[in-house]
This record gives sequence, C-alpha cells and structure tokens, in this order.
Amino acid sequence: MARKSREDLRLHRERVRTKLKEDDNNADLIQVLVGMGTSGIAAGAPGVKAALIEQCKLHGIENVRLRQVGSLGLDFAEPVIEIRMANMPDTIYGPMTAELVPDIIEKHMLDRELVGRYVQHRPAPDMMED
Amino acid sequence: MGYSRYDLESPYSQFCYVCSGVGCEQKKSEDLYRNIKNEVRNRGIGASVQVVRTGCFGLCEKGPIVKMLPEETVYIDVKPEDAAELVERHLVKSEIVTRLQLKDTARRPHLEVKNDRGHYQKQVRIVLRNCGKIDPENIDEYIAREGYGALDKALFEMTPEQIIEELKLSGLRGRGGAGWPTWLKWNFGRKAAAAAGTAYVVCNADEGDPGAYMDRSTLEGDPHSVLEAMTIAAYTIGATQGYIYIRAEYPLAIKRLETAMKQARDYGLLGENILESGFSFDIEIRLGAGAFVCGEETALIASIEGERGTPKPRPPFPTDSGVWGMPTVINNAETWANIPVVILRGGKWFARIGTENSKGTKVFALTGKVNNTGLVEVPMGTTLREIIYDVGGGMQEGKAFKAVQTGGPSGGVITAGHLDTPIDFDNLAKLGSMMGSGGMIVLAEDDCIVDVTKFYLEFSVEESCGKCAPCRIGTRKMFNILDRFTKGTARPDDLWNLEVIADATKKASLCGLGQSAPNPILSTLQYFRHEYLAHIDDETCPAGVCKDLMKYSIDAEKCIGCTVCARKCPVACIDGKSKELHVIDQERCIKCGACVAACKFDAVLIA
Ligand SMILES: Cc1cc2nc3c(=O)[nH]c(=O)nc-3n(C[C@H](O)[C@H](O)[C@H](O)COP(=O)(O)O)c2cc1C
Ligand code: SF4
Ligand code: SF4
Ligand code: SF4
Ligand code: FES
Repeated sequence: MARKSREDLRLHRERVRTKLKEDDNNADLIQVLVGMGTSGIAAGAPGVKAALIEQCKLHGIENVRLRQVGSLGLDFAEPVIEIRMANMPDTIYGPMTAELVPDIIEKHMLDRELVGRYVQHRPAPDMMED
Repeated sequence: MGYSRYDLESPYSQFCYVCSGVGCEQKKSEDLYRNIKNEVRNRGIGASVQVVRTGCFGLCEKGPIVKMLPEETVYIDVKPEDAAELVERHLVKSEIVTRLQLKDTARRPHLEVKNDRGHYQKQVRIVLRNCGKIDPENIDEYIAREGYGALDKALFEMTPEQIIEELKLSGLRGRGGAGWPTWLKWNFGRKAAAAAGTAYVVCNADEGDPGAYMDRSTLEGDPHSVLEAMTIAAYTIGATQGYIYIRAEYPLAIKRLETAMKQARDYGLLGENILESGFSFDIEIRLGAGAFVCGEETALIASIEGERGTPKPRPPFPTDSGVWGMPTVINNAETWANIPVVILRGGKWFARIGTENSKGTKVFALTGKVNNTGLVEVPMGTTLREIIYDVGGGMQEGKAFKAVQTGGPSGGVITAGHLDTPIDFDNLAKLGSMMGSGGMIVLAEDDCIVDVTKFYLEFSVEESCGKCAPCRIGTRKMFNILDRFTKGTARPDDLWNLEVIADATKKASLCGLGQSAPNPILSTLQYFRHEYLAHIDDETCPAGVCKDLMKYSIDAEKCIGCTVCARKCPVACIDGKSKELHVIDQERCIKCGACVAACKFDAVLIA
C-alpha cells in the first residue's frame, strides 16, 4: 500500500469502514474474535483458536472468519472469544476451553442458541459508537 | 453493535440473561433462574425465549440482575418471587416492569455520556477503546475506527498552540504516577524546543510496578493509538525523533509495535513527509532491561542514550534537557493513548468525565482477592466500593475486605473507612496512597499487612540502583526490620526505628524510587499500627500469615488420640499414645500445617 495524502487516508478510511460494515451485515458470515493478549495467550487462547479452526472444518462450517484482537481485560474469564453473526446477539464467551468449542459451534453457530454459564458481558459500551 | 443485525427470524426471538456471577448467586439468582425458566415453560413461550445464566454484569451490589435482549432492558434487585411478573409482563405482554428497571438517573455526573444506551455500566473505556475490538496487527481496522483522524486534524487544521489549548481544556494529567498536567509539559517542551532547535518525544512503557500491566495491554491491543499520539506531540513541540522505551519482558507488545510502525510507515503516517504535510517524524524502540528505576524519567533518558540507567538530580527537567541534552517530552503509554481522543472529540468532551481536578478515566489492574480480576477502566471519581463490589464482582469466597494497595512500591493502602472516597489523584494522595501506575491489589482479612509491606520493601531493596546512600541503606534497613516483625524477633523500639528511617529515606533520597519507597510503610503504619503491634507485643500475626509467629497446639477436648497427626508430622514432633491426648513439641515444630490437614476432628489449633 502506497504512502497516503490526507485525501487518500480519508478515502481509505471510508473504504475499510464500508468493508467492515459489510462483513458485519453479511448474514452468511460468522466472525469469531479471539482475545490474543498476553493474558489470553497464557490462559490458552492459541489452543482454543486451533480447536475452533479444526472443529469448524469438521462441522463443515466454511463461512467463519477468525480474527485476533487484543485483550478485553476480563482476566478472570480468559481465554475470551466473541462471536458475531446474524440473528444472534454479539456474544462474549469465557473462560473458553478446547473442549467447549464443539458445544459453541453446535449450539451457538448451528442451532442459534446461547451456551449458558459461559456468556460474559461487554465491560463497557463502545465510545466510538456514541 | 451486533444487535442491529439481530432479527426476529432466529429460533429464539428473545433472550433472558440471568446473572449467575458469585455476587448474584449469593442473592439467590439460582432460584430466580429456575423460577423464570419454569414461568417461561408454563406459559408455553419456551420455544421463542431462551433463558441463560451468564457471568457477572459488574453491578453486583444491585444484584440479582436480569437483562432482556434484544431490548437491552436491565432489571435490578430481582427476587425469585419476581419471576412471574417479569415473565408475564416483559416477555408475554412486552411491557417494561418499571418497578425493577435500572434507571439511568442512578448515574452520577462523572459518568455523564451523551447516548444513554448501555450506560448503566460503571466502566467507560477511552484508553482501552480498541482493545478487544480490533486486530492490533492490522492498521486498517484502527483506521476504520477513526484511527489517525486525530493526526489528520492536528496536522492540517490545528496550530501547535491550539493543540496545547485543547489539552489544557481536557485537564488530562499524566498517568505514569505523578499526575503532572500534560499540556503544561508539552508547553514547556515546545518553548524549550523553539530555543534549542530540536526536541524528542518519548513513550514510557517501562511499567516496573509489580502489580501493573495496563501499558502492556494497551500496546498489545492498540499500538497505533500510541504511535499516533506521539506523532501529534512531535508536531506540537517540533520533534523529529521519538523513542518508545519498553521492557524487554514484553515481547508481544514489542512485536505488535514493530508491526504497527512498519504499517504506519508504509502508509505515510510515520517517517518522511507525513500525509504529505511536509512534517517528518519517526520512532525507534528502545528495550529496557527490566530495572524498575529505569522507569524514572532521568534514568530512562540515560538508558536511551546507552548509558547506565541511573537517575540524575532534577532540575534540569527533561522538558529542558532530556535525550542528548535536548528538550524532551516523556509521557506514559496510557497518557499517550488518551491523546487521539482528546484531539478528535475535543478537550471539553474529555473534561466532562471525571472530577474537578482529575479528568477522564483511569485504567486499573485489579488483582488480589476479588472475583473479577483484570483490567478495568473507570471514570476518575469512581469509588473503591464500586470498583471492588460492582466491577470487581465482590470479595473472593465472601472474605472480609481489609484494604486495597494502590501505587505499588511507591504507594500505600486504602482502608474500609475510605471505600466511598471518589478515586482521583488528589484524594488518593490525601489518604497517603497514590495513583501510581494503577496497580490495585485487593487485600482480605487473611492478608498480613506487615507481610505485604515487606514484599514492597524487598522489591525496593532489589531495585534500588545504589547511587545514593539513603536509599541503598535505608531500604535495606527498613526491610530488615519488617523481616524481624514477620519472624517474631522484632525489638520493642523497632516501630520507632522504622519510622525514623522511613522519614530519613523519604527526605534524603535522590530520586522518586527512594523518596517513595517508605510510602508502603508510612501508609500501613497510619492505618494498621495495631497489626504491627500485635506482631511485637502479642507475638501473633492476626491474619495468620507469618508462619514463625504461629503456634500449633492440640485441643484436649477434641483429640481422641487417633495418632494420625503424629504419623503425618514430617519432623515427628507430636507425641502421644493411642487413644490418649497428643501434644506438639513447640521447639521442634516447623509449622508446616500437616497436622491440621491430617486431623479429622479439628483438634489442632492455630494461634
Ligand atoms: C522509580 C520510578 C519508577 C517509575 N516508573 C515508571 C514507569 O514504569 N512508567 C511510567 O510511565 N512512569 C514511571 N515513572 C514516572 C516517570 O518518571 C514520569 O513521571 C512519567 O513517565 C511521566 O509521564 P506522565 O506525565 O504521562 O505520567 C517512574 C518514576 C519513578 C520515580
Ligand atoms: S533514590 Fe535509590 S534508585 Fe534513586 S538514585 Fe538513589 S539509590 Fe538510585
Ligand atoms: S489427628 Fe487429631 S484426634 Fe488424632 S491424635 Fe492427632 S490431634 Fe488427636
Ligand atoms: S505443624 Fe507440622 S511440624 Fe508442627 S506439629 Fe504439625 S505436622 Fe508437626
Ligand atoms: S454477580 Fe451478578 S452483577 Fe456481579
């Protein structure tokens, strides 16, 4: 990507924003955000991520996108993931384990049913959406 | 938010969240959950409403909590008996049960935010706005969330004076410990730079306080916010080079910073002719070896220059003479992360959050005996009670609260009597603690104040650079005395000795490390003198932590002479015949506790 002028930056921002919004509104796309800060990694986030990739394949789910993000700060619930998909509320799950992954996939992704007990709350509203 | 993508074609058209965090569970949320489930089933709406138990909402004092989705109605103080009404009216008739609804009027002024939705929460995230939201290794995700918009605005629409004015309006103060107004620092730096012809900006990410990791998390989760902020500062004061001083023990943060810097350079957001504005600036990473004192700004400067990281007397302050003798603005990583928001939203927007003299938010690393440990970001002015009992989910295992340690090795404790003090720079200082970097360790009844204080002094002894005698010798002496307290060998005049040395070390040390190393002692002596005294006068540790002060004995009433303890004792110091009272030889007992665990009759007493 080339160096940008002020105009370029603004156009680029609109482009990526539109693209990310499209992903958010894409009824066929499941996004999984995996908290990959030091605390998440120490608690086993890489294993959960690997299990998610493997289990999605096993369940024939192809329309899933895994994204690494920083830490939400919920150390007591690490490793933490967030699932964003159509017809379900954005849901944060933790503490995650590889063993819990099939449940999350079968219930949340396929049956559109929350997996109780592991649902955590977003610690604060998003100030960027004010 | 994704709720906008939520439509009613899903198998469930509604979700009912019932908090089953520890706090709510103690208030019968389990019964509530069962009642709601039954009510839902009895009314035949189980196919469209899913009732789930969830983790803590961060509102435990108002628990049990129920939240309905997709409406996002929050109900508080819900009793098991309220289930029928809630289900009938909210879920069946789609009415709001106003009696139980959380009302926004409960919010206090320091929480004021424009849009009400979701703002029942205690946390406000400015510094951590992107953490957990964006991929820190993808610059586009940062840009999409207004990233580099502040730089754009600063470079093309604002003069350096206007930027400083905006900072002044914001009331932002440094988050690295001392709480120095950021605008003032930049203004000094700018004036000195004009005379010197060049200047530097530095990000302090040394984060040596043993209980703190907010800078690490910020840099790992949102590295571009710090790069953007430093570039804005460089433009403001006239610097062309910046340094990020980060401890080598933070490999992930370093890697993500490096990736971020490369991406920013590729985009022309760092380096020559930024955004074709004619302004050039670049950043280098300098790795610290992990010495606490290197976080002190003059030591940090020496370390950047490749010298030994030892402090120098101030003045001159870094804003006059910093890196390579040139004017230098040093800010803490968390301070930097606030800057883009201040520029984009304006100083006035920022200043609405917080207290009179402490604006914005503070990130705390909440650890110790609370249920929800982790990073929390709350508006200045939030009380300790809210942090511990709401955000923190209350005390672990229902233990009694004793104190909170803030400010790490430079800070002190806040006690139960001050749980309702709004936390800001000035109030913490008044209580004899300090904001410090934001470590917040919650202590319970079973934590020994003397032992905790000893831990911090041991840290200071190890981290003292040894340059000046008051600190080098003073910290060692104070540690030795505290050690005697915990071993039961303290002398009657030791309390007095401790105070005299603490006072001298505070006054005569060269840098902040020595000057503040006695703080944990002075603060705990103020609030917990009785606990120190118990260690000398009664030779007991009230919290039951200091092993050497514990005495194990066997209760004659309870012991049935089963001999189990005698066989389990590793040093064979328990005597007694079968079916007769057993006795512990105090001289030989090593206080391992094996007998306590072994006795099925609770006959072994600890005092
Ligand atoms: C012993 C000692 C250690 C310090 N460690 C740090 C540190 O790890 N991180 C930090 O930002 N400031 C630290 N400081 C404070 C810095 O000297 C300096 O005040 C701060 O970086 C300024 O940034 P601010 O104005 O944004 O708070 C330390 C100070 C002392 C005396
Ligand atoms: S006060 Fe301590 S750390 Fe600071 S210069 Fe003196 S010996 Fe070194
Ligand atoms: S285990 Fe308990 S009951 Fe048995 S001998 Fe020891 S103290 Fe007495
Ligand atoms: S505490 Fe340990 S050493 Fe002492 S009597 Fe009990 S088992 Fe023996
Ligand atoms: S446990 Fe329910 S709100 Fe904290």
